Amino acid sequence: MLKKIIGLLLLQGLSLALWSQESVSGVVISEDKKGRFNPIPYANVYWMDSNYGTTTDSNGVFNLAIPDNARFLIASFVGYSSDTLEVRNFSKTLTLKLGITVELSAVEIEARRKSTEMSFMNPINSENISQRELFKAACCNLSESFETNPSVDVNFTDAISGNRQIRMLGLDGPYTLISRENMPGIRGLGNAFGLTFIPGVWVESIQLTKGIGSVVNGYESIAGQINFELKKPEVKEETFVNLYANQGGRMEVNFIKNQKVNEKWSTALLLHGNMRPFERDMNSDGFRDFPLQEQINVMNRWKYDNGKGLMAQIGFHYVNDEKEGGETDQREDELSELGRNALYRLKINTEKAEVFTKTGIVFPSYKYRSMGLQMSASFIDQESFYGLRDYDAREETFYANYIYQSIIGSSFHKFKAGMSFLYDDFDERLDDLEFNRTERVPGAFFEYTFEPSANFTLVAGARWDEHNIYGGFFTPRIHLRYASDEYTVFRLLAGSGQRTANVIAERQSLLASSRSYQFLGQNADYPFGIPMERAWNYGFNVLRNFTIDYRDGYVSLDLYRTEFENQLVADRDESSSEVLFYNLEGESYANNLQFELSYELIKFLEMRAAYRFTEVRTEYRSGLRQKPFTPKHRWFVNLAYSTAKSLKGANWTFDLTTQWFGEQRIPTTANNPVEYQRGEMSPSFFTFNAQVTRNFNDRWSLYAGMENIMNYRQDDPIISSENPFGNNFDASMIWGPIFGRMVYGGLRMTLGKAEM
Amino acid sequence: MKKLIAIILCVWSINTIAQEESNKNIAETTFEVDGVCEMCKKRIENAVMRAPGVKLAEWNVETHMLKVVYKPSKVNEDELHAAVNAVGHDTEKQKAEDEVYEQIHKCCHYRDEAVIDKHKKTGSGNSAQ
Repeated sequence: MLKKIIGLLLLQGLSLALWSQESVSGVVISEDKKGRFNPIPYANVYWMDSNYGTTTDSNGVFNLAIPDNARFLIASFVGYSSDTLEVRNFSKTLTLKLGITVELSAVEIEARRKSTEMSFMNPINSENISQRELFKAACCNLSESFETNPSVDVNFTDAISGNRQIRMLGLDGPYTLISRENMPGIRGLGNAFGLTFIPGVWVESIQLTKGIGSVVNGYESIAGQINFELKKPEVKEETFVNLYANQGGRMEVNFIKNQKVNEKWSTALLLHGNMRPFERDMNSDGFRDFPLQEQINVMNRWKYDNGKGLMAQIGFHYVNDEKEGGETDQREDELSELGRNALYRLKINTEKAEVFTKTGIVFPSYKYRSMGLQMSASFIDQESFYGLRDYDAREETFYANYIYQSIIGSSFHKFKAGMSFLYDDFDERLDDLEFNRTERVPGAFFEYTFEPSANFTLVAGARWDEHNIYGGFFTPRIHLRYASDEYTVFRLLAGSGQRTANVIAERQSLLASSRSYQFLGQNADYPFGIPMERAWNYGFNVLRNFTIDYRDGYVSLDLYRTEFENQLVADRDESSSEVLFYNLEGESYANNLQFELSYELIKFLEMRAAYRFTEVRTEYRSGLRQKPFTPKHRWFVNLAYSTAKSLKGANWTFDLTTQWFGEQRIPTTANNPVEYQRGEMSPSFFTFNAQVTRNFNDRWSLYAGMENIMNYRQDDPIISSENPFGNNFDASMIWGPIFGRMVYGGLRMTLGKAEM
Repeated sequence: MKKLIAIILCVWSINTIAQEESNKNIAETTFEVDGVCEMCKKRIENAVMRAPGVKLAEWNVETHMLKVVYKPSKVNEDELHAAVNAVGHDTEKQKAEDEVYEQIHKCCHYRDEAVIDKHKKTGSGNSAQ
């Protein structure tokens, strides 16, 4: 059935491809105070009185089809006065010059733009999540930024640590490459809790890419790439304060200060602190629903721009995070009744420090040529215990990536080439078992982009990496984009990705159980006896924008398939008292279908609805089975409404998200005593979240919301919670919400917005 | 699964019929609104969009012409002019109150010759190559 649809869609695409269109190209620039011309990226370029339009690329360059009545070409960009050009010679490269409007920096423009935008021009299927979207779910860090997004799942990993993990295409977080401004953001040991080290309000925007990304960013992305951009020092001078508290006892403070030091230097200081000083046990199982915790998080970065093509930045990031979970203090009095003398506690202390630099050079006389060097050095140190189990790990990483980009002959042929180096030293200890490894991976990459018109883009990339442990490997990737008309775009992708599995660190939730660890890897040359994980990813996407009754919307359909060649399998299905780790012994794949519809239902009421089918199957020792805790079907609806803004900027916004999760497979509990057995499948369930924001003016706003309004909870989430040192204890069998309904509130304040 | 495909195909075909729906219940008007920049554009368009029955509002920075598509049964032209005045912009029929005009951002003060000049100087006008 699916094949038929794909065939049909492709046919439609091809039939339209037959008529070709002439196009006109040019550049949009602006003159600064000193008379220098700078290209304007992402400016709008369109024909007067027509639907034909495009945006410029990162170099300010555009390429636009020529409709019949083409005559006047208009370029515009927020904050600039627009330019209109009468085009007589269509073969000439055009230059459109925007003017700078007065006092631009003090101005914020409220465009009627969607808070999440599906890319139309990008050859890679990606969506941009703006800050307005991020404000829809006010709490708290990157792991919670996807509450209003249907493409990313956010799940609790266990009932004790309060940790959440994201999933894309049904695959666990580590298969998604998470980058901070296109440098490695969260990887390795950081995959365990790294998402909680990025406070949500520090984030300016997130770009979400499904499937394998660009080879420029490395070989690790398999299921997708999440790139987040932090608040930038050079954009706007401001001081921002945010306070947050919730019913679960969590309190947060954020402080951000962006400052221009002089003409060339700007700096940003980002501070974050959070704590949960009180314990809560809403389901009365004797365990804290969330651990008590404290975090201090600091980032400072400096940016330099000499205005002649040299840009640089240097910064550091430091996090100290302490969590203490497990049984409640109140249980201490009941210990004699329970027949033991110690509480089950979990403690995780993590420290992370990073120094990073970026240097970029653009050549004013060669507008397509630029080069950049990114470097980062970091360590993460984790000391922890889960009951009687000790787990300590330390990872030291150095990363460097050099990128050169230019054109071959004309701007139809662009390329990026470069080299990277990764050093990764990983030492870990689980009770008496020690595992150490040192990876050194030099690599080289080349990516070619063919863009003969605004309707067609081909990106073909490849990289070779020479790994000191796993040997050399080749990573090819291809992305195709074809717009059949100005509403419709088709995308295809195929390619491979690989990564080193961090066997224990990535599955720390399993430590919160009595399962014994069985390492069954066969290959003595590799850490844990397991080769690098390697997978092929194929994707198809079609996006169609439409306008009904003057209101915009889009429909999109995604089909993805990921096939693993090598994969670390964590098998919980042999017995409830052990977990087996071994390399894949058969097939393992993930099939994904997502259908999405977005439309402004009535004026200013925006709806986004999605259905997703996810089939993730792996050959376990017990046979080919759906991955545990992965619903096959999921529905998602988000509604957002905003009232009119007064002249001062006061208004209300309302937001409601509802999700339905289908049944999920639960690993076997058949060998447990009857009272500790669970069903084979979880029930399906709904969740509802809502938030109201009151903006008093452009500078400050109050918000309040409620998560899990229907108070839906997984009953008895911890197996054998009264005897956590016994043989049946397992806190990692989580398929639904643990904490019930939760109320939260907070305020956002921008202080002393200086006029530059 | 079949339902889903039916939905997809339905939505697919929507686009082609969508814009043909324009019937007698919908009117279109164009009038002049004073302003100088992209920020004025957003302010003017948003204000008119918020009026009941307005389907579309598009203001051109160059020509100062505002195009409005609306339902005459819900809103009349005078009310459209009033909506523009309410956010501090003058229309060809009716001037905004001075108090409201003073509240809009300094750089949008379109009645001020200096502001207009500044926009002209840095702005467009280098057309026709």
